[in-house]
Amino acid sequence: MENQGHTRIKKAQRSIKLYLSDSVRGSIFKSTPLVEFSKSPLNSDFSIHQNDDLYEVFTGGTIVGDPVLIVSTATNYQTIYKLLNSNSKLISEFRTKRNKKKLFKASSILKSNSSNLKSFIDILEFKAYLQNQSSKIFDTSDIPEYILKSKLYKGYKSCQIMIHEKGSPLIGAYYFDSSVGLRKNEIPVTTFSKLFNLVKKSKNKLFNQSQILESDIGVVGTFLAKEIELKKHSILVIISRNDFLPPSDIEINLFNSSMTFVSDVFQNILLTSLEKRKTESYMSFLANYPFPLFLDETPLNEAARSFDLSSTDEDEISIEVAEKKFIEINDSFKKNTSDIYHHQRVSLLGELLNTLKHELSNPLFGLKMASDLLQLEEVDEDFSSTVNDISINCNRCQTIIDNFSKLYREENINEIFNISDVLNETILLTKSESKQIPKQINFYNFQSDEDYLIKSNPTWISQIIFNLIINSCQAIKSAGQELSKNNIEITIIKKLEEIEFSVSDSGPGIPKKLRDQIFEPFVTTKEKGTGLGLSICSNLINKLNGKIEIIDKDEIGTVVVFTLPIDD
Amino acid sequence: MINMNILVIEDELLIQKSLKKLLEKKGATVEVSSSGKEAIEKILSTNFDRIVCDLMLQDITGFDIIEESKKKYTIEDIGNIFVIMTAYSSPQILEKANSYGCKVLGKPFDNIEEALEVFLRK
Repeated sequence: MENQGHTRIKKAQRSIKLYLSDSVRGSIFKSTPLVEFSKSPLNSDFSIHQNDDLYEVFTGGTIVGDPVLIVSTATNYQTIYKLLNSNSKLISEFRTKRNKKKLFKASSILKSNSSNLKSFIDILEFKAYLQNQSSKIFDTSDIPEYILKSKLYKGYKSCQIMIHEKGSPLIGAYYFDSSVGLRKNEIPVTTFSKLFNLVKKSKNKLFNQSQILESDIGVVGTFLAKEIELKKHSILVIISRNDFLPPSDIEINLFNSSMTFVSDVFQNILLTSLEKRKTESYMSFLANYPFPLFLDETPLNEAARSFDLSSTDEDEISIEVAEKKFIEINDSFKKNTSDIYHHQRVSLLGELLNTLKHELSNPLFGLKMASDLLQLEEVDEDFSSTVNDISINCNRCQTIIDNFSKLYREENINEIFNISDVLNETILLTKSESKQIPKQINFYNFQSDEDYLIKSNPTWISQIIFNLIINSCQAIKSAGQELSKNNIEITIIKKLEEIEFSVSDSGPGIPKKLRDQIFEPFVTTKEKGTGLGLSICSNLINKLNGKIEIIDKDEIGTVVVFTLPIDD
Repeated sequence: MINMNILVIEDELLIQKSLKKLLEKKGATVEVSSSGKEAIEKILSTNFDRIVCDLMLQDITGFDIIEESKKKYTIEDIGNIFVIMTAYSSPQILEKANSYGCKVLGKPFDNIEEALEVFLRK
């Protein structure tokens, strides 16, 4: 082979000679200190030809045989240079900067390269491929499949990866066979350590099953295995063609170096999935946390942005990825917050109210029966009417308890109900907050009794109206005026394809600057508000396929309007 | 007047007492029981025409009482004798009660007169 040992270093000191065939139109390739153009393919290190939408890169000016690199013409020329260059560039970096990280990369390339540029580029491609796919790999159990799908491991039939998260008692083993698919299982640490050490001690990483207990390994036949030690994980990658022929030295080399070379990609994937799991457990913690929490995402965000982006390209990519992930998580978090808090509020209150309902219902029922029993006695009218009062009030208590527990029922139901009844029941429930404030309900365009029957989720609608009325009451109270001079007006208009509800009050209104974000969680005008009420309303209305908005009012006060589609 | 021997198993004493009186007014002979264990003893030692049983008792459930009663009654008898009262009328509970062939009344009763009729039906 042409560039062995010292030649490689020599090569690093000169620039790559590139020949561009006539088919490569335009002058998109520019010469740099590292790249010069040769006039003849014979004197060049690489020649680039265009074939439809692809650039094909051949070595030494030849266009016979397989190209060493194929990239789309859309690929930035810098990327192509980088791919062609990385060999010499990394070696030169290795010589100049004795930085640990670089040393790791360069040394793995030195090993991997072993004078074979073709396999070197294969490895680079493999890494680029894995890096590209890593955004799609959400679950670490998908890694074996992606490895088998790569060009480099085209001929292999099965792959197994065992991942030990340091400190965890069980090891996830993911086995993918191109004909069987994915199989997951868990193996104990002792088995894993035994395998890991066996692989670690082996020089050529080539095994057959007689060397390793067959039950521990999913792969069939002769296989290659490589151990990778990461910051928080130990990994074993096992790959097989499902046959018993030993692979060539080149293949063994390729496997060893490519796995070492992509270990940082594995690192990223594993850390991302670890982060994801952490986020999930935070989410479930939040969902079950019985008190409202305040989250301020800004400081974290700024920290992510002020990160030093000046180091190498790969660091940049990983920070970009991390930042992107962060923003994604943040966005989805925002979107889920209302859901989480609604769920939290409903489940906690639902549970409390359910207990209260059953604990109160029994004695109330006893009271009711006792009073009914007394009414059967032949007594004077005065006594009988007093007992009747007891009975009627027992019924009232029961209705209130039932309605309250209905308000916090967590059910996604769609049923026909009378909107007027639900509205009146709901207003009854706001009584403690709304007493002394005059309330008015107007129905427009409801002609027959049938018009009042709508198909939707009565619990949610009741929750929305309950929230809006409570908000109005609190706004009015915050202004400190005489309550009886204020009012809350609830208007329901039946339109052709939707029903419009509006709740308006004579309170101080919502400041203009908050109006755009008032439906977002944690935005509040109240001194002690959680800022969740309206975001929960908006979330529920979305689920009901309706819309909610704040209407600008010239004078003081707030009008919240929401619509619901009429469902036949 | 209805001449029936009824056992009321209910741990809410006011309900138990009221129900006893209401049924007695209709002419029935009523015995009461506040706990499941006491109820089982009575069921195994006395013959009742009707057993009105609350589902959620302090010690055991009404279904446990029915299971114990299988020592004395056939499945057909159980469907005729037992009437279940419950404040938790979930579909699962209704289904289970149906599997014994028992009638179920949700508490509180919508109409006490109708409930009494169910208890006193022969």
